[in-house]
Amino acid sequence: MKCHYACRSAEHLMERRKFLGTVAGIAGAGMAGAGTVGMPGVVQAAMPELAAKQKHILIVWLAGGLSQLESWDPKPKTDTGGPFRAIPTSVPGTHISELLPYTAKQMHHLSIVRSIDTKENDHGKGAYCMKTGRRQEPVADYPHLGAVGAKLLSPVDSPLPGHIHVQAGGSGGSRDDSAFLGPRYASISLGGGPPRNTALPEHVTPEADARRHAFRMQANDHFARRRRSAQSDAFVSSFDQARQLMERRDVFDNTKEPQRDVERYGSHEFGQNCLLARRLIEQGISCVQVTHTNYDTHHENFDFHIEQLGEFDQTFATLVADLVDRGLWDSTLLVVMSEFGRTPKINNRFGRDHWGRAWSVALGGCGIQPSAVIGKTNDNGTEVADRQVDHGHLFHTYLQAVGVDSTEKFDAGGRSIPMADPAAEPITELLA
Amino acid sequence: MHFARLSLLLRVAVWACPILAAPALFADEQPQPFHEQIDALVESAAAGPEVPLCDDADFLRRAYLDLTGTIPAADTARTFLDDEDPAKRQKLVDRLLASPRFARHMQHTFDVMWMERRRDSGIARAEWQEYLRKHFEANTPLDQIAREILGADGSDPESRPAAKFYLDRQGEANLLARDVGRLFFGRDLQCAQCHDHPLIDDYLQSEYHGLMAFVNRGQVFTDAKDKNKVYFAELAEGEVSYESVFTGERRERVMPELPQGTPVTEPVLSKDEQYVVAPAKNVRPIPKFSRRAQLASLATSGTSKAFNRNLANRLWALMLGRGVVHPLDMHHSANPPASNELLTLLADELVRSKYDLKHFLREIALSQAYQRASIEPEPSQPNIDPGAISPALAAWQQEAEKLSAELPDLEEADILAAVALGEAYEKFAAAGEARDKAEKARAEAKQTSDEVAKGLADAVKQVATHDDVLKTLVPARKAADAAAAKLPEDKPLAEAAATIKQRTEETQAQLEAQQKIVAEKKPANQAASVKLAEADKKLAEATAALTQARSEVEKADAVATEAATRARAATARSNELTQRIEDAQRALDYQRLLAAASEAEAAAKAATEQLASLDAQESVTDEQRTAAESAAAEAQQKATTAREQAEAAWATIVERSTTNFGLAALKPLSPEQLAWATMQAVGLVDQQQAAQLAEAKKHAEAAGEMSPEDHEALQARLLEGLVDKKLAGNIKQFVELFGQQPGQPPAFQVTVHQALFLANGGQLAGWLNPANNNLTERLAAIEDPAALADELYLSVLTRRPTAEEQKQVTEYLASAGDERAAAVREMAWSLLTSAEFRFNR
Repeated sequence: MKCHYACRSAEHLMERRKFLGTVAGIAGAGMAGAGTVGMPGVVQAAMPELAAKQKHILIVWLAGGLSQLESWDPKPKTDTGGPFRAIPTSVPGTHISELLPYTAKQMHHLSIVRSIDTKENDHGKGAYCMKTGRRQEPVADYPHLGAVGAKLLSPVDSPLPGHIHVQAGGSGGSRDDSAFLGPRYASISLGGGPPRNTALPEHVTPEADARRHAFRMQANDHFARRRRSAQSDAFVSSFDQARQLMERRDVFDNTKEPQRDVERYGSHEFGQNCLLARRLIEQGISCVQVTHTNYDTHHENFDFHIEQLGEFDQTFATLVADLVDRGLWDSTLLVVMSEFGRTPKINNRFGRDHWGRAWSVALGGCGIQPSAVIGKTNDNGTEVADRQVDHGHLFHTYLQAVGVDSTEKFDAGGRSIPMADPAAEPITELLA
Repeated sequence: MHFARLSLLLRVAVWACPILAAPALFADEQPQPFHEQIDALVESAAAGPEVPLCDDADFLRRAYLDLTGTIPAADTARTFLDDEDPAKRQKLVDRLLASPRFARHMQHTFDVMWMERRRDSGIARAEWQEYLRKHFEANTPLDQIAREILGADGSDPESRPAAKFYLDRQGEANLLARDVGRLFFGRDLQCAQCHDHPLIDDYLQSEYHGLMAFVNRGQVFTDAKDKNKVYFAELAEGEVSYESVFTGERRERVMPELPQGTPVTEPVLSKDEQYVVAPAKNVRPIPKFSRRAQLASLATSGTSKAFNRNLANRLWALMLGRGVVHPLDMHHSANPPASNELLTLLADELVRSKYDLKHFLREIALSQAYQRASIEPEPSQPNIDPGAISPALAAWQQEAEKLSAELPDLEEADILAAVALGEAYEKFAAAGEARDKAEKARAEAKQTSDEVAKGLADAVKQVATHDDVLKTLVPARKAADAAAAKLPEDKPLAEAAATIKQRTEETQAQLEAQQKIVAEKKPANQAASVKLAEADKKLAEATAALTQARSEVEKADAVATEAATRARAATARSNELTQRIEDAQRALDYQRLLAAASEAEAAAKAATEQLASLDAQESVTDEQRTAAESAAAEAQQKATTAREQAEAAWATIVERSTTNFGLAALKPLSPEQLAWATMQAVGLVDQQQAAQLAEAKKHAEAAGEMSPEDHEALQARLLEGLVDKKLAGNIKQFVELFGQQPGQPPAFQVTVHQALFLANGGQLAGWLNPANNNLTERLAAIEDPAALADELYLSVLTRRPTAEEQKQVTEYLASAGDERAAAVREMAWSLLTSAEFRFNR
């Protein structure tokens, strides 16, 4: 299927101009919300349409390190291949592991990059590479893809958080993953409930709330008559955004989804998290990450992959199909990634170890050429044989896919910082 | 206006004779108070509207927040506002500087400044904060604190927390070079992309690596017995090298050097004399010559201009909300200070006062620049005085012209000096390599010489042994031979004589053999000694050459630094003048724009009236009407454009006025300030003070005999400590929501989560529950609405309400009926979440 949606359309250029207008400076970023007073209802009514136009990034993070050999790059009948077969997919000529039968049927929406070499075999450092597109260095910290996306893709007047990690037990706390972009773009972790502090305290009735806000505005008006700054304006308007967000609490409420969908996604945690991710994207959140854990299979790699992918496969395939059906596919970049892959060599505990030298990522949706297979590994998967890329290339590609010129720079308090590693470039043949 | 006249006088006086501002000239006379010197310079650079000083309430709140990190209690505010003492502002500043909250606020401020909310690792935050607090309580000179931090290795129990700066950055050399550069010298040396001037890039690059050479030999050392105890050890080896962006040359063996400083002279030590404690397993190495100790002492010696200017600028920014150079870590010529003279004055005063923090902040607090109002003048009455601005403008233009003529020569000299320095560095690197070789050759010659000498000595020893044996054998042989001759039949005797003969001959042969070896080895030994002497000489020469090459680098560096400093100073001054000239022209032009707008609006009004009068007439043609309509529309268009131009110019004038300290900035409260100000406003601090008073008294009395003043001060300190201990945990959520990401410079950012926290969070809501004589309980007990409004506004906003606000409060209470408690709570919440509370006005 071709990506009908022109991510480089005139409409996109408009968005980009808007973004360039707001990208200037962290302090300036605070102004983004200025002048968006009241009228939450209007925003909400227009939301489904807006959600389709707005670009999104959805990351499915397989924590611990998915085995490429048991998923996107099977090598059956080789010394490294393990016990599983490769099966044909909806893309003629492309085979993936038999552990992903449902995903195989959705492959015509997806693409695979099979030639990743990050040279990084450490969980933390590998994750940093994949999430920020840079190698971890002590001197500088870089924002995660979700934070970058939240900054660049969120409508300037949206009250919704731009960057959410869907996570069991997520209580709305935020993390340190936005670096110089500031706390505004740090992810908040949600586990099926709304973010913190989005309900009125018990003792405050809606009438009382209206009264106290009116009095607050009176005070602000008095102050702003002769004293105001971009910062004070931004502070004042953040309360309007807060109220808009409160009116939209149900955005985060999975129980609003029909029971049939709950069943289709699976009653397990990953299933419910993916359903929430779908809901969040649909409701206008820019960047969402869903995590599936337990892929660090130093022991019993094959049993664990049967179990983990058994849970992953149907849910993930459902998610892809739903995003396509709901018209969100062309505006949503979906990436399935880990911190690294797993060694071709099978160790004496039937496990596979950490492996950053030749592994795969699957992705699709907005801006991505469907049905492509980029690069390849050698016959038994021990090294990259063609089109070697790393986290830097991938990061450029993600940004380009959602219509951002990845060679642009952020202005962080007077410092000019490239959005993506200037030493790398996008994988152009992967872009639609 | 009185102060306008005064400012004019000052402005002209300072411009005509800038040296007037230098304190040295007044050495014999009563020196001009420092805050007046500040004001003279701020005035001299001003080219915008005249803004009056802030009122007492604004000053009170500002001084409290800036010096103690919180706001005053309502009663304190009332007393201050009603006080008619003309010196009350100065007295307030002195009182605040003496209060225990000053040390606490500085502790927070410097912790965030130096650690940037990094996660704890090497040193626990609590220890570090207490270390800082104690220093600020004792008003330890800032150079000493900086010296402890920059020289820290964690081994001195007293100042161990100071090692947090290095240890919590994991001792990573690049990070340290960058952060020492940013935080202690005001230079983000990694920011070569911020500008496109190759000279600046190159200069930043060399400064960066010069700093790097101070810290790159550091390594985190973990105590073998206690894994939690880490030190920042230092090696005697490890060189820094880099490739120059500007010249393309590689620079090897970069010498440690402060920004804008000269290279550190260090002794050339052979490998076996480099250490006090040599590195080994589980042993913390200590070098004989510590580069880090050099960094600490050079930076804080008073002679590092970059260090002094950075510190002065950061302290200024604490008070004024922005630096004279802004951003604070961007001191370079493409980002000139708002006033170089002002920054120089501040830096010099810091040194002159021996880095006395309280003195420095006090003088700033007493300056008019600090006490300016944050209220914009009315755009229609901009208070711009052309009589003051025009002569200053003319002088700036003249100076700018002169400078632009001189700049090319200065830049060329800078380039030539940089190239010469590069060459000197190349020779230095070669000399270093040559000396390494000579040292190696000398070691080899020594080894050869030792081996040969040992061989010779062995042979000589053998000769002596054989010689000694022969001394016995030869007479024995003679005696045996004689005995055998006398007893020819005695066979055994003959055999014995033969044996002795044989032994003698053998020994003789061995002796000769060894003698031959000795004869052979002597010249070799001679040769080896000569070679060793030569190698010694060569090493001495190479050492001398290295020392020489280094002094050449030092000379070239001095020349280059001088040239660069001059070129950069000229560029910075030129950029500064460009800004000032633009400001002055804009300010002067504003009156014209304002008049033009009024005129155009009058014309538009006239045209509209004309049109209206046409409508009233009967004999008007369509053509006449159309013409009048389009004339009116055109006039209206012109009026709108003219008004917009005037408004845009005004916005810029106001913004530039803030930049130049002519108008006070609205400063967002830090997370800590916001938390403490909130706790103060809601009555939590007062509650705790009352609750802990008995405890503080008890401890103070237990401390023994002392003067009443000392006793009172001790009790106040103890009380502050107890209250802080009880309430400090409440800051956490504020820091999480309002603070920057770890390792990032502080930046103001608004998030919806902050608003949600204030609006719906349990913390603030709980504090507003009426209880224990807190704000809401106190307010609810006040019958008279006017008195209630008074208490509310004084408690939260540190000012009395206006008549309008009093009316609003009265109405709010009236409409609430018997839900008075709820109404009080709502209003308190409204003010606590208002922009006026969130900002330091």
